[in-house]
Parts: sequence; structure tokens; C-alpha cells
Amino acid sequence: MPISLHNVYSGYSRGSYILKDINMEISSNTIVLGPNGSGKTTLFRTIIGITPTVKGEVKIDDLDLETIRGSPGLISTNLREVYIQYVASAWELASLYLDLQGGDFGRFNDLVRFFNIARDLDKKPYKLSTGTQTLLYDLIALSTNARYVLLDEPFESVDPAKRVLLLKEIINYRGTVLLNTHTTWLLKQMSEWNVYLMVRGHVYGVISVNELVSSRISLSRGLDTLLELKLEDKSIYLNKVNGIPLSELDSLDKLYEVITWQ
Amino acid sequence: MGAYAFSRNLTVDTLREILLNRGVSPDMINNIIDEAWNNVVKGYSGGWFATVVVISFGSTSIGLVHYVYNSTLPLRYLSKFSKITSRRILLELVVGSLVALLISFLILFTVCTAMFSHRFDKLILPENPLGLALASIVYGLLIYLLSMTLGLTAVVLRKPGLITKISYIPFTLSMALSLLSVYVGGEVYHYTPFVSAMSLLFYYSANIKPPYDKPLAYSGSDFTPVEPLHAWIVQVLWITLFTLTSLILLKKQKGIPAEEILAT
Repeated sequence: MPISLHNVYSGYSRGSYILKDINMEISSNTIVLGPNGSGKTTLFRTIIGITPTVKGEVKIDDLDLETIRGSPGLISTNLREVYIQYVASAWELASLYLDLQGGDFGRFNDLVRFFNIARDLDKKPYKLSTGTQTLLYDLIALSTNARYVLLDEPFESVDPAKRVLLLKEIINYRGTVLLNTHTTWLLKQMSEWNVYLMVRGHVYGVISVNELVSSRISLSRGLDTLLELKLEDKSIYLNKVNGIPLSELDSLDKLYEVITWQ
Repeated sequence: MGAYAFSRNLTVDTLREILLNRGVSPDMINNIIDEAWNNVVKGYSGGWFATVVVISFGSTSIGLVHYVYNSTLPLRYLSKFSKITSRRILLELVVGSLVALLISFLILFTVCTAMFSHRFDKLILPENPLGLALASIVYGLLIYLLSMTLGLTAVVLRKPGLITKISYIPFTLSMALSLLSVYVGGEVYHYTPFVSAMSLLFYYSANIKPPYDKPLAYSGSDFTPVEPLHAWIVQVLWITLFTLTSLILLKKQKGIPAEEILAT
């Protein structure tokens, strides 16, 4: 299996884990959908090894993550904490990382001009606006030609017009994309993707986007229940027929509001 | 300030007066005054230069500590998913930092040479430029390793909020200890990395061994001199200590989650 996590616990801090007993198998384009604070970013940090796994194992192409060294072209990500900030300009940062990771700077150049941010990249990365920074790291990740690209909230603060263009680039990427988000607007464009739901450090799934888009949220389990999501003192159920349509939620942050008011 | 403000009373006439007060005959003074004045100028300029370099490198350490701290996560990622190894990354960090310190040294050297030469109306160059260069590089390496130790300590302690306070430790210590050594004196200071560096920089600038048991600013001749070998040994021991500590902390930091490093 390309990326697999077995019984993974990680992000240990002050007596508790951020990720608890994660079991995932990712072999094709996958979305991890969950509200803010559910552990999606920690999941990505665990997969790339910057948050150590305390229990369980993470494997990439059957290789234990702990043993991976010097493997350009295997994984890339848009997580900004892996990018050195002490550079003269964003261009220099992109050039450095694409060189180190065996990426395509020409492709990056084309994408930058397509998204019309070329002039902005003369600045240092931390001086860019939030949306341009997000776009910068997205485009670097998508230009590495890596086998797996991990995109953490790739649309956060990005201009709405550019979001749609970015989504097309992501969908057309040749490798396997693992994308996490709390928004649901993009689901209809990604019907062939798989989905994991993530709530409070636990992962639920896998189901297809089509099943998810047509599913409903309810406090009651039924014969048509696809998934049970455990939240604090109650469970919510993803059903085929009974409940509020998931598509009525703009974002999974509203999940808690919906359940509270039910 | 050292060249003009603090040296206002430093003149040939003042030196003559000091020698007279110490019982040296006027004839003898006439014979030795040129050499004595030469030594005073070299010693004074060398002392200021050594102190300024020690403190300046200490201030550069503020940025280095932050740099090391903020490089831990990129280092973890790049060592796995790029063609560069973690050893190469660390080597590049060391070389890059030494280059920055070298540039700082050259600027200080140029400014000090120009100002003190103008003040004393003669070209003042280091007596042993090679020794001076080597002492500066070794002290620069020591500063880098100290910065690395401190940056990694903040990671391992899981206290990102302490990083700014920790980053000021080398600067504060370099300033306090070097000035104490100049104006107060004492054997114990010569065992610190900053004062042992200062002794070597002073020695190779002026070709005069600094006092071990008296302040650097002491004008008498009844003191025990610092042997350069002693100062070199102190420097090497501190470099060894910081290297070993850094290696241990580098291993320990791998177990610290990114969330703890990034927390504010």
C-alpha cells in the first residue's frame, strides 16, 4: 500500500495524544475532511515525519517512515513549517526546494505566471499576504513531481477566483494527492476521490465522495448508517437516507453547530 | 568611542608622567619612550579590537539561535524527502554562519584599523594576522556551536516562548565577562569561552600577553601573563563540550512533535 498508517498515536503533549489509533490506507487521491482542530494538520506532519509517531507505524511504499532518508520525489507538501524562511526571496525558496527535491522549476514558473503572482515572489516569503503564501507553497508542492503530494488546507485565504483554477491543477496532478480541508464546496468536483472524515483526532472511513455528498447527518443510528463519528459525549451518524444533507453545510465547522441545535 | 572618547588622556606626555611617577629617570625615559608608546598604542588598540569582536560575535549569536531553532523542522523534512543529507544541511549551516561572522570580523577590523590609526597618527596593523584570523575563526565556530546548543535546548525543553530570552545569553555573557576582564580582572574569567577568545585576539593583535591575574586595562608590569596555549586549550575544550552537547540534543529533538516547536 502506498501510504499506510496502522494504530498510529502521535502528537503527544501534556498527557494526551492529538492523533489516536489512526488506521488509513491511501492508494489514490484522497480528501481528509474535518472541522478545525480535528488533527488534520498533525496527521500530515506525522506522515512526513516532523511529528514523531509514539505508537504504531507509518509506511510509504512499504518503507517504514523511520528508515526513509534522501528520497527526493517521494513526498512533497505545502506545510509552511518545512520551508526555510531565511532566504532572499520567494523565488529563491522555490528554486532551492525544487532543486533539492528534483522538481520542475519551469513548471513552477508557468504556474506562477498563470496565477499572476510573479511580481509578488520578489519579496521574502513571510512578507507575502496569507493567500499568496498559501498559493506559493501549493505551487511548489505541485511542481516537485513527487509521487505523493500532501496539501494542508490548500485554499485557505486564497482568492476565490484562483481557488477554482487551483482545484483544477490539483485534480489534474499526475501523482497521488492527499488533501485536507474543512470546506465542502469542492467535493462535487472530486467525485472519483476517496474521503476520510476526521473528528477529534480519530479518522473514520474510507468512503467515496459520491457516497459522502449524498449522505445525511443524524444523531440516530439506522439501518442505512455509513459511518459513526464520536464527538465528546455523543455520536453522530452518516446515513444514506435519514438526517440533514451534508451538502447543506458549507464547512464541517458547522457540524458542531448543527448537532448542538438538533 | 574607544579611539577618541576614552583615549582623550592617552598621550605621549601622559605616558612620560606615568613613567616619571614610577621612578624612571628622564634620560631612561627618553631612550625608551618611542618603544613604550608603541606598546601602549598596540595594547590599547588591540584591547579594544578584541573586546569589540567578542561582543559583536556574541550579538550575532542572537540571530543564530533563532536560525537553529527554526531550522529543526525543515531539517527533519529535507533529510527524508530531498537529496540533501542532514549532515550536509548542518555543514551548510556552520559554513554559512562562519561566513556571516567573517564578514562581521572584516568590517570591524577595517573600522578599528582606520579609526585607531587616525587617532594615534600611525598605521596600526595586527602583529600576527594569521594568528588573528585563526583565533577569529575558532571563536566564530565556538559561537555557532553555543548558538546551536541553545537553540536545540529550547526545542528539547518544549519551551518555544523561551527562545528569545535564550538567544540573548551569549550576547549578555560576552559583554559582561569581557568588560569585567578588562576593568576588574581575575583568573576565573580566563576559563570562559569569551575571555579566552579575547586573550588570543589581543595577543595576536598586539603581540603582548594579556594579564592573567589583573585587568586588561592594568598599566603596570607586575602581573602573570596569559599563555596563548592556555587560551587555545580553553577554546578547544569549550568547542568539544558544545559539539557533544549539540549532538546529544540533535538526537533528542527528533522526538519533539512539531506542534510543541511551533506553539507560541
